[in-house]
This record gives sequence, C-alpha cells and structure tokens, in this order.
Amino acid sequence: MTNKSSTLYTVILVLSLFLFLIKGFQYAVLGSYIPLVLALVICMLFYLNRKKKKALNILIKIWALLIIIWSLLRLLIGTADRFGKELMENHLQENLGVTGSLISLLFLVVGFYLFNKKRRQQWLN
Amino acid sequence: MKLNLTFILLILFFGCKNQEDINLSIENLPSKTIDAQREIVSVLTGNKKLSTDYTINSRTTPKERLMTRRYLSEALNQLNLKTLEHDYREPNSNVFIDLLVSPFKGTNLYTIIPSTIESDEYVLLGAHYDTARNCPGANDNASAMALLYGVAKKISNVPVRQKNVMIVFFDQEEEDLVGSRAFAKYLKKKDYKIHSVHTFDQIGWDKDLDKAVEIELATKKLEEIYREKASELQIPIHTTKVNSTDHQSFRELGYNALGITEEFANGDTTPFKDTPKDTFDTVDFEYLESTTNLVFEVINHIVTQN
Repeated sequence: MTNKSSTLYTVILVLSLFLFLIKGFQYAVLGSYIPLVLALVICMLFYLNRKKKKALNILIKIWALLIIIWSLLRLLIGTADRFGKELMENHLQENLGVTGSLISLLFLVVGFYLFNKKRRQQWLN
Repeated sequence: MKLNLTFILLILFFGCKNQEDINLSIENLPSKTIDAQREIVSVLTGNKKLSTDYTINSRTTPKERLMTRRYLSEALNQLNLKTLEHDYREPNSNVFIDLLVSPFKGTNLYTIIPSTIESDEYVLLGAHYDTARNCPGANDNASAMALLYGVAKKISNVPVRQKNVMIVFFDQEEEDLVGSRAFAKYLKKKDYKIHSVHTFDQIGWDKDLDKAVEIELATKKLEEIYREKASELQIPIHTTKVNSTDHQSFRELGYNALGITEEFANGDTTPFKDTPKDTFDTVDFEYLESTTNLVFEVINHIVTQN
C-alpha cells in the first residue's frame, strides 16, 4: 500500500468513527446516552488495540460490517417507504429521503472500502 | 479522486441544511373574522397560493412548515402581535431509531397578548400546524389555527385583561406530539406561571349542524366555565377522555390542560383525517365561527376574572 492510500484508509476509518461519535454527542445533549456510550466503547476498543494487529483487524472488520448493516437498514426502510405504502412518520421520511439515501450509499461504500481484505491487510502491515 | 470522496462525504453530512430565511408579505386579511379565517384556511391548505411562486400543499416538509410559520407570523403581525420562535431538538421514541437517524428538529411559533394589568400569569391556547404527509390538513388542523387567529383578534380588543394570553402553534403533533412536549418542557424550564392550557384540534366538521363541541379531560372548574358559556351561546358540550393530542403533553408535566375538538368521540367528525381529501371545501366555517365565539367567551371570562 502506498503512503497516499494508507493515509486515505486512515482518514476514512477515523472519519467514520468520528461521525458516529458526533451523533452520540448530539443525542447525549438531548438526554439519550446510549448512542454516545456505544460510540465511545467502539472508539476505546480501537484505541486500546491500536498496536495489536490481529485485534485491530477484527475490530475494523466488525466496524465495517456495522457500517454496512447501518447503511443497508436505512436504504431498505427508505426504499420500502418510497415504493410501498407510506410506512414512516414525516421525520423518518425526511431522514431517509433522497439526501438520506445518498448518505447511506456513501457509508455503504465506506463500509465496503474498510472491509476489503486486501486493503485492510496492506494498511495493517 | 479519493480525496474528493472524503469531501463529498463531509459536505453531505454537514451541508444538508438549506433552510433559507424567507421574508413574506401577505395581503391584508379581511376585517371580518370569519372571512379572515376562511382566507387563512384557504392559504394554509393550498386552495389559494401563498405567493406568486409558492403554494402550501401540505405542512409536512421543513420548507412547508417554514412557509406556514412565515404566513402565520404575518397574519399575527397584522393584529400587531409579534411572534417568537421556539426551536427544539428531541430524541426519537426509541434508541434504535436514534442510532439510525437524526433527532427531531422543529420550531413552535408563539405570540403573547399581554395583560393590561401587570400579571405573571398566562392562559395558553395552542394548535398544531403540521399535517400528515400529502394531506392539505384543512380540518386537521388549519381550522384550529384559524380559530386561534379569531380568538387572538377578539382578545386583543378586550380593554381590561388581568392575565397574559399565549397563543402557540405547535410543530410535529403528527409525530407523537413532539412539538408540544418540547414546548411544555420549555415552559417548565422557564418557570412560566400557567393558569390553564387549552389546545384545539379539528374544528371544522359539523355534519349534523348542532354546533356541538367536545372538551377533553377538563378539570371540573374549566368544564364549568365552558358549560356556562356554551349554554349562553346555546352550544351543546360533551366531555370525553380523549388524550391523543397536544393537551396530553402539558398534562404530563402537571399543567391544568384540556382539549377542544369537533365531535370526535361522538362520530360527527371528518372522515378525511390524514388523507388528501382533507381539503378547504370540507370545512364548515359557520361551525368554526361558532366555536371561535365560544372559546373567546371562555378565555375572556378567564382573563377578566381576578
């Protein structure tokens, strides 16, 4: 892996964690703490295992899978609402509309990017 | 290419807030209250254009709700009432949804008709302004917004008022009363002294032409006032225990709150609720006028008593 691709992998990984951390803080301010607790636990696991290649490999794999599931769930609900009967409240529809679906798609790409075995192994080495 | 991807990601995540601040000026509303109410319902349901290039077809999306607030604000400005906005963010109903999407974000609009004699006590009148998706929401709830306009206009002209009157238009009632819950919390936090809360939902249907209204979960004292004034106006009153609308948010926090509606529990209620057929032409404006008069008499009684 070139230096440039390695930096990109790092940026995407850190950014993906950072964005969920922001979401956690956003909810904590409103009195809902579980998203923040989950985000902190994941960040902590990454931090504690930052020098253990094997553990880090598993962690990235799990994190990438979680991002993929998160994106697919959002896409699935948004699509079902658009093409089927109106399932959701306005608020969910706002979140999972066109812009929301684009965000989900981008995260899906991010998830697959991080999950890619070759890329992951190269980054770890 | 890879760097571009990062930038697009960032822009999409942070840059999707494009709520422009729209200044709107509307024609003067008719001086006769019922005509003004007809005009308000007409504009708020897309029966009449809001401006040359915008029609409010429903009040669902952030843009539609913003335009609704701007219109209501202009309408109240014509009564020399200055409006204020209460912005809020609230978590979703469960943590699983929190993990998937952003928090609720909305804005309640309110105005205060001050007492003429110094007082820190408020009577709150409220109605939600949002609608279900693809629904013009004439009965639910443009009718109640028009009622609030009518009552505000009449109350402003009462020469001696011993209490302040707060008129509130709630956001996101259709989504588990999010707007009114946020407003009730705001009142509690600011320690407002609230005499009573009266919320209105669906005031435009009276197929049996009896002018009857239902009051929901009123305390004995408030029920007595409503009954007394209704009797003077020869309006039948029914009491029910329906709690599925905004007054519930206030009762949860210990406020003296009640709801007022058409005969929802008795069945003389719009069959078009939350559908595209809830249109301007289904609203009974004589019924709206009669209920406006009743509510005015009740509020007038409350604000003129010591």
